[in-house]
This record gives sequence, C-alpha cells and structure tokens, in this order.
Amino acid sequence: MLYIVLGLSAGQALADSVIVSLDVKAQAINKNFLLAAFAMRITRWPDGRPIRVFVLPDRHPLHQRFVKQRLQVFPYQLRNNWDRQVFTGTGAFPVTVDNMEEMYRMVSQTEGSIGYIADSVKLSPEKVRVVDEF
Amino acid sequence: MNFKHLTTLLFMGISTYSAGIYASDSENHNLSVNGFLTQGFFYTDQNNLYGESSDNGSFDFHEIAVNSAYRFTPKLRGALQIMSRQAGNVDNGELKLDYALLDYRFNDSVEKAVGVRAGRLKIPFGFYNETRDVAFTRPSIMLPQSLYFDQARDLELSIDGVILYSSLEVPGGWLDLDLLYGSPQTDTNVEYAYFAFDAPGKLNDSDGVMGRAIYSVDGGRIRVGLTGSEYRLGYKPGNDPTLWNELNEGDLKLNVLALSGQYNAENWSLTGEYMLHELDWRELGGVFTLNPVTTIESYYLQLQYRFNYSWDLLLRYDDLKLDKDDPLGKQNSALLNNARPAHNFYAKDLTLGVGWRPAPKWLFRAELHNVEGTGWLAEQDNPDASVLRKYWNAFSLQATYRF
Repeated sequence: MLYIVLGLSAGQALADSVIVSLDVKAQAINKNFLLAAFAMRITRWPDGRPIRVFVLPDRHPLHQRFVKQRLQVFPYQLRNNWDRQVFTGTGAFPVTVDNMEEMYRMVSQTEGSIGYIADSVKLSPEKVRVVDEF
Repeated sequence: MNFKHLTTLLFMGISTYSAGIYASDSENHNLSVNGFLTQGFFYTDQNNLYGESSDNGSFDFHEIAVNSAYRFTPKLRGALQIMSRQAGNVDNGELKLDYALLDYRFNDSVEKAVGVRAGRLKIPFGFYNETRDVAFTRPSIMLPQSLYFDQARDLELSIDGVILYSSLEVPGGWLDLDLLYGSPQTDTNVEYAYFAFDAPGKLNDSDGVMGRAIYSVDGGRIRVGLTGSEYRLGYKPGNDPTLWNELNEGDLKLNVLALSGQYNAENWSLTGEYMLHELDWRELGGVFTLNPVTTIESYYLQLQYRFNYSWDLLLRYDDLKLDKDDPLGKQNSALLNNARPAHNFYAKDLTLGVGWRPAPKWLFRAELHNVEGTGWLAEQDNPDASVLRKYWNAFSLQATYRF
C-alpha cells in the first residue's frame, strides 16, 4: 500500500485524486465511467452494488477544477444533468459535502463511495484508496 | 391495461413507503426529498399573459413542487412528485400528481445502461419538456412558446404508460434513447389548444407513442436530438348535436417531429430546436372541414451567456406558424370570416433575459419579450380574439427557491 501514498505525493501532473472506499474493487477507472458516475448516469459498480457519489459544492474551487480537468466537462453541465434527473424522477443528486475533510471522512465511512480530493491532503491507505484513471 | 389505476397504486405505495423511511432514518442514502417554490410576475402593454397582466401586472403565477425518490434495491427505484401550478386561467393551482414511477434498470454499465419505467412519466420531448415547470432547469422564465406552448401543457406534461430507456456508448460519446407508450392527459386546456374552444363533448380514450434520441458528443459539448411522436385523441360528442361547435365522434391525430441541437462552451451555450406538428381533424368534421389537416411549424434559436456562476444573459428568437402554408395567417383568418384575426395564427418573439443566483438555492430572473402576433397566447386569458393586439411587449420577473 505504501506505493499508493508515494505515488500520490509524486503525482503532480494530476492536481486532484479520485478516491473510493476500501470495499470498491476497481483499481483503475475508465474516464468514461468516471464521467458517467459523477453525472449520475450510471448508478452501479461493475459488481452490481450502488455507487455513492460525493461532491463539493458547485462553487468550490476544487470541484470546478476536478470537473473541468478530470471529467472534462463544465460544472454547469453536471448541475443541469442532476437537476434534469431529479425533477423527472429518473435519477438522484450526489451527496454534497462542505469541505475536503468531510469528503475524506464520508468516502472512508460509506460503502461503495467515490469522491475526489486535492493532492495536498494526506491520506491514510487504511481509510480510502486512490484510483488511477485510464 | 389501465395505466390510470397503476399510477394511483404507485403513488400510494411510494409515498407511504418513503414517509415511513424518512421518519425513521433521515441519513439514509437511498431516500431523497427535494422541491422548489417559484413565484412569477407578468406585465404586458397589450393582451394578457398568465392572468390580467395588461392592467397592473399579474402575480397570478406560481409553481410549487415536492418530490421524493427511494432506491428499493440497486436495480429498482421509485419516485414521485406532487405539484401545484397557478398560471392565469390556464392552471388553477390545484395539487396534481406530476409523476409517480417505478424504474427498473436491467443493465447499468458505461457501455450499455438499459431500463424500463412505468407509471406517470414526464414526456421526453426535445431538450426542455420534461422539466418545463422547474425554473432552474429553464434557460428563461418562459420556455420558447413555439415548441413548448403552455396552452396544451396537460397533453405535453406527463403520460400514464411505460418507457423503455437506454444510454449507449457510441463513437464520440453516448446516445440516450427513450421509447414511450401510454395514455396522455387530455383536459379542457387541450381542447382550447387544438380546437380554440371548449367543445361540448370530451376528449377521452387517447394513446400515443413517442421516441427520442439524443447524441452527446465530447461529454455533452455537442448535443443533437431527434423526437418523433404519434398521438391519437378520441373525441366523444356531447348530448346536443345541433350546437354550432359540435364535432363528429372520431380521432384527432397529432404527429410531431422535432430536431434539437446544442453547443456548450464554458461561458456560452447555443441552442436551437425545430418542430413540425401535424394536426389531422378529418374524422372530427364540424368547423374543421374548412382546414382538415394543418402543420404547425416552430423554431427558436437561443444564446445563453454566463458571466460567472451567479449571472447569465439570454437572447432568443422564437417563431411560430400555426399553419406553415399560411405564415401570415390571412387564409386561416378568412376561412373563419375573420372571427380570429390573422395575427392569431403566428407569433415572433424576441426575448432578452437576465438570471441571478445569489446563493445555490436561489434564482431570480427578469425578462423582456417583444412580440409580433398572438399565436400562442392562451384563449383562457384572452377570451375575445377580436380585441387582441398584433404588436405587444411583456416584462416578467421570477423568484425561485429550491430545497
């Protein structure tokens, strides 16, 4: 597990990390899966369990950066997707957390969860796992 | 299969279940409760829009909704929304079941998500129809009325039936598909919209199919949509066949084809939609023998500009021709001995709007409409077509709170 922590501090190219709860089996996540999961278009992990998505508020600088750099869409597009799904009964909102500490805590405590965090936050490999993207 | 009963059962089941869960476990990830309140104000220099707007303005417009969704199992969800909408004489504010559905998703991968929804469903037409009453999903206070006309809203709002849906990974992006079959809601407003009067009999026994495909490229930077539908509204005459406005027993047939396109950049979005809507009154006869089949042609082009998260601007041109072969309405007006003026058969609306989100839960909008023609004005708010004015302006304000 040590290499994950090391890899994290060395990974300057990607400003932020995708984190999942320890029970999530995926070691690496396809970019299309990442967008579909955060857009709440798909709702289950490949093993069939529900995906629990955590995000920071729309105006949070990390949210804006993560959505633009990693998901390669604009925050307003995600917001439009969520609103459209919730108010037609066809989908749900992700859970919005107030800050990175809460993000870290919620992802570590919720089964099947996914979120993101700035590389400046020191992570314990016993609590959350960083996943690579391909 | 009677879809109406299915919807009632679903409503009772889901609401009882959700209320129980909500009371016992408010931290539950499987349950959600959301809603919104919208209040509008409309002022017009001529003609009426959502109430008696041409006198001192009208506050006769609100939209209030509460919805709840529950995930029973990873594959099965239930959701419902109750809504009250007041809109001049078109909607009286009574509580309505907006949707109540069960959603079973067989397959849920990025390559292929497939599922079925049954119950009362929002109608997947174009880009905006499903959320037309939800202020913060609209680009403006009023949606472009040429495509999303408020008059026939009950027909366009929800349908009791089933939808087969899927989201497929395709080269360049993904494809969202919806295929719908069901019984549309047909009330008096629908008669106003398609007959221009409240006919003595009733529209009942209706059904329709609709299909929509939306291709999203590059994470939704480009979206292209195609919607097609065929509706059949059965008309049953009243008791007095001698009335001037009575019609034969038969079906009013509605066919719709709409093309949608959108480009999304960081600070701006360009959206356009084009619709052909064919009305076939041949079986109903009566006053419609004069013009038994007509095609409505509509389009709009809209530019949204986002200065930052809080402020946006909207510019739109919206064009409606109730008879595409008679763009100035002169022939249609003459057929009715000028009972309806020519400008009652088209409308050209130039809209300028501004939106402000001071906080995530609040949205305020202001909007100016400069309109030539009265084609989409509601008869219910303007009962005497002969006093309508061809050129008119509207100013509107809207406040929305969501939770």
